[in-house]
Amino acid sequence: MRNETLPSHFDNLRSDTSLTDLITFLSGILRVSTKYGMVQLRNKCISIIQDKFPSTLAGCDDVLKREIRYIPSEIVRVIPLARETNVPRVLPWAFYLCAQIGVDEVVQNTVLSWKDKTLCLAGKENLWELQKSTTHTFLLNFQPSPQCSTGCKVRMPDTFTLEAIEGLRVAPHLLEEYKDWNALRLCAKCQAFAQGQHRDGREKVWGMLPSIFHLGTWDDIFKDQSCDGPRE
Amino acid sequence: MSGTKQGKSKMTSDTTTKRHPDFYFPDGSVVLIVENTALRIHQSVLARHSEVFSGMFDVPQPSDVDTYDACPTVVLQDSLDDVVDVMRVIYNALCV
Repeated sequence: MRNETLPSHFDNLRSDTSLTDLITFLSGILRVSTKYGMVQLRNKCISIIQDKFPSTLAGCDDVLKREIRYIPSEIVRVIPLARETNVPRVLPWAFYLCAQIGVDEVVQNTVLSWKDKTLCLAGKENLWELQKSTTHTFLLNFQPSPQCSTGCKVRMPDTFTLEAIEGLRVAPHLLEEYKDWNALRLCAKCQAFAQGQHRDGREKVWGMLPSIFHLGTWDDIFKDQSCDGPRE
Repeated sequence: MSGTKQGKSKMTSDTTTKRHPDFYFPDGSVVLIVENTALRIHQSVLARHSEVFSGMFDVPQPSDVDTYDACPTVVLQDSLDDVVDVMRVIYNALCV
C-alpha cells in the first residue's frame, strides 16, 4: 500500500525536470528519510536519482541515448549529497561527469570537498590513459586488424590533428559510443576489429569506473549501499 | 538517536515557537519542534513510515514528558524545509 501511495507527491517531477530542480526537490527528503529510517521514501528518492546517475553500463547507454543535459553546477551537488546519505552507487557516474569539467573550474568549485576534487582530477587523468589504451586505440594508438591488406595503418596518423586529440584529453568522454566509423575510412576488417576493441574497451572501463576514481569496486559499492543508513 | 530530543518535564508552548500553517492538525498526537516551529502530526502516521520514530514511540514515555499543546514533543535538529518536504510526501500521499 505504501508503494502505491508514495508516488503521488513525486508526480510533481516530470521527466524533463532539470537536475537542479530534481536535486533541490529530493535532497531534503533523502536526508530526513535516511536519518529516520524511512526506508520506502529513501528508496523512492534513490530510484529517481539513479535514473540519471546509472550504476550499470545499460543504464549508462540509456542516459546517453536520452541526451540528458548535465550542467557542472548540478553534477557537483550530487556528490556531497550521495556521501552524506550513503548512496554510493551514483558516485562513479557523478565523478565521471565531473571529469568532463575543466581543471580550473574543479579547483575553484565551492561545493566539492578538496578530497573529491582530488579524486575527480586523478580520475580525469586515469580516464585519458584508458581512452588511449583501451576504448579509443583505433584513434590514438591505431593497430590494424591482423588481416588488413590495404594499409590502414599508414593512413590513420593523418586523420587527427593535435588539437582534436587535445579536445579528447581535456574532456575524456570515453564511455560515449563512437559512431563515426565511416569517417575513418578503414577497410572492413580493420573497422570490425576496431569496433570490437571499442565495445570491449567500454565494458572494461565501465567495470573499472569506481576504481578509476578510487571508490573501490562496484561490488564494494553495492554492498555498501545495501547496508543503507548514513555513513558516520 | 542523534538529532532528536524528547524534552524535560515542562510545557514548551513558549511564545517563540510558532505553529506550522500546513502541518498543525488539531487531532495530531505528537508535536515535532523544528527551528522554533511546531508541527502537530500523528504518531501513527509517522511511525508507519519511519523505523526510528516507530521505535521511539514503542518505548513507554515518562508521565512528565515535555508537552506542547497537550501533546508530547520531539525536538529535531534538522532543517525545517527538509522536514516539511517529508511531511508533504507523507500526508499528500495519504490524502489521495
